[in-house]
Amino acid sequence: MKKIKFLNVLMIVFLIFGTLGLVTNLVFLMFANDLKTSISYDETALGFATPYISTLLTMLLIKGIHNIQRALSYCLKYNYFNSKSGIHFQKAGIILIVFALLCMPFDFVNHNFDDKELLLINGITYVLVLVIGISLTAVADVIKKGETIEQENLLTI
Amino acid sequence: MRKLYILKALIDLLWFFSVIVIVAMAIFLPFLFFSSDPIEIPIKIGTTKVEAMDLPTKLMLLGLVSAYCFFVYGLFLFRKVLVLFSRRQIFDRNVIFLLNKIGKFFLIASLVAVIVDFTANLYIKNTVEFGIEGGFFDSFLFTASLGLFFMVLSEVFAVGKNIKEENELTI
Repeated sequence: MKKIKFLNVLMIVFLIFGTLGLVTNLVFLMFANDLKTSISYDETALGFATPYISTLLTMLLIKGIHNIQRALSYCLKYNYFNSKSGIHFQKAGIILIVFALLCMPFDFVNHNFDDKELLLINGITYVLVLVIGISLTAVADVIKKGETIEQENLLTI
Repeated sequence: MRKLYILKALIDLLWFFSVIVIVAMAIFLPFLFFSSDPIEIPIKIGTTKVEAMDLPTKLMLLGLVSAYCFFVYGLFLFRKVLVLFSRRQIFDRNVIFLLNKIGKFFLIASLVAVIVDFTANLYIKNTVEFGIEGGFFDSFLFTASLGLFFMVLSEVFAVGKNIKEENELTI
């Protein structure tokens, strides 16, 4: 239980930093003209929409992490095998899969093939996120199966 | 089972690219370490650009390479776990052992990487830096969480194995 508690705390830290980053990004976007920023999105394929899309993608990622955190807190509350954890792991997995699948074309289109090294690293990273997403949905299945076995076990004499 | 096959295919893809990188490093690193000529290829340790190849820098690079190797070994073990899953060995002793081992390797990899990054900043840039990178995924938090997640999974499977055994023993 110690490890799961520690992981839960790490997820909360992740969420806090992620939310702070997101809020800063939103404030920056709102007051971009007032701040006279030197960042120009004219060269990117999606133009002015680039920062808004990346903000939406970050929101998706934070929602995924939030679901993982909730699943972990339910594991702490109701033991490992419970349907609530399973549902949240399933949701987190699907969100991370969607996130990775959206990020791949976004990065591919936006970087204009200039920085091939970055494109490759990002590609591998998103494959890793996709793997994590699918793994989470598989974990959700295992938790659901475990819950069924646990219930059968409790019912038998 | 379909999910498992997709996952296995993706892990195989990651594994394939990782092995290519390791082979490239195995060829390239001896030249880099034992050659006295100035380096022409841009090398970075974390966010720090390497300019001179002295002994501490070589040690830091070696640390980073070993961290990468730990991570790739973790991936290799995960492939093994997926093979066991495809044989329908889910709540199995080997799966529990392997998941715990994967977690430990991921955790060690992230710790070594963060120590090397910190030392590189201190030694090369003469600065102390703490922070979370914008990319999230190359941050210490992410890899450490991944390692811990595998260790938690190992515990979950251990509990599942016990319940399954109890279930099989009861009438």
